[in-house]
Amino acid sequence: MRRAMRLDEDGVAGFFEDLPVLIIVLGAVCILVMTATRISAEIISNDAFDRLQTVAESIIDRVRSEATQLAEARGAPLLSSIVRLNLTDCAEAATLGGHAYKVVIAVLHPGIGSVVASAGRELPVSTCSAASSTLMNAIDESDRSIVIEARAMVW
Amino acid sequence: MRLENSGQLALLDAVVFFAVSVVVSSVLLSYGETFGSVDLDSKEGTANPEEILGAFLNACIGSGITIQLSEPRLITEREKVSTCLAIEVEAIMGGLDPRLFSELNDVFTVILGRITNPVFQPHLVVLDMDSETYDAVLLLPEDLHVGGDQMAASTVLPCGAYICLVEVVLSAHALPEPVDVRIRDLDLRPSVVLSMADDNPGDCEHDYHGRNREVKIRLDVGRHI
Repeated sequence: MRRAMRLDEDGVAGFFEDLPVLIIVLGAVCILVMTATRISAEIISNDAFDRLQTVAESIIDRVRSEATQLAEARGAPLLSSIVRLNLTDCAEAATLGGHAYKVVIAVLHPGIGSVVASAGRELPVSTCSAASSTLMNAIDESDRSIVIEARAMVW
Repeated sequence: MRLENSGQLALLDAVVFFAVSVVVSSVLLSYGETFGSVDLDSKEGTANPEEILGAFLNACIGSGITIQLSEPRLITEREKVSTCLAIEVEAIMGGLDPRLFSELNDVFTVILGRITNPVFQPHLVVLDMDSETYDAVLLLPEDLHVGGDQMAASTVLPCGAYICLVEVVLSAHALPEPVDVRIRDLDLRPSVVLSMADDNPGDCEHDYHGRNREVKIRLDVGRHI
C-alpha cells in the first residue's frame, strides 16, 4: 500500500515536471501544422490559377487567330474588322461556359486606352483570377498602323 | 539523480525538436515565397519581347515631325517606326550628330512605354552588325544595365547601306509586395476589370490574387470608361 502511494506521488510530480516539455513539443507541432496548412493552401491556389491561366491564354489564342484571318495584304487587319470580331464566341468556346470572363480590345498607340471592343460574362468577383494578353497591329480609318492589345481576364 | 537526468534529457529533446521544426518551417515558407518572385516568363506580366518588338517596328509614329538631315525632312504620322529608325540609324552611322534626333527618340520611347506592361522598363538597342564588336548605334534610354531580370528580342533591320540589329530589352522593376494600386485612368492595364463593378456604382476595392503578387485595386466606377 505504501509502495502504491509513492508511485502515485511520483506520477503527479512527473506530470508537472513534464509540462515545459509538453508545451515545447506542442508548440513545435503547431508550427509544423500551420506551415503544412499554408503550403498546401498555396499549392491548391496555384493549381486553380494555372487552370484559369490556361483558359485565359486559350481565349487570347482564339482572338488572335480570328484577327489574323482578317489580315489584309499589308499584313495587318483593319480596325473596323477587329471591332466586329465576335469576342463572345471566342471566349465561350474557351471557357466552355464554366468561368466568368472579360475580353477587351484596346488601342495602345496612338493614344492609349480607348476600348474598341469588349465582351464578358460577369459573375461575382472571385479571389482567384488570371489574365493573358497579346499585342497586334491594325490599320485604322486614317490608314495608320496602330497597336492594339487583346486582353482576357478569367475568374 | 537518475530521474533528474532523464527530465533534463526530455527537456533537451523537446528544445531540439522545437528548433528543428522552426528551421523546417522557415525553409518550407521561404521555398514557398520563391513562387511569389517576379516570374519574367509569366503570361500575367505580358512580357513577350518578340510581340513588343514586332508591334513596335510595325507601328506608325503617330505624330508628324521634322528631322534635320542634310536638309529638313518631314516624317508624317503614318510613317512606320521601322522606317524612321532606319533613317535615323543610317544618318548616325553616316556621321550625323545623334542629338539631332532627340525628338524622334522621344517618340520611340513613348511608343515603347505605351505598349509595354508597366511592370517592365523597356529599352531599345540598335547594334551595328558590320562592326566586329557589334557597336551600339542607339540606346534608348541610356541607363541600361545588363544583368538582373531581363528579357530581350531582336531582329535584323536594313538601314540603307548598313545592316543593324534592333533589340528590345525588358528589365523588371523592383516592385514592393504587396503593391497598392489605385486606378485613376486607363494608363494602368488592370483597368479592364473596371466593368466588373458596374452593378456597384461608387468606389469599391477588389483584392486581386495573382501568382506573382497580391494587389488591392481600388475602383472609382464611372470616371474611367
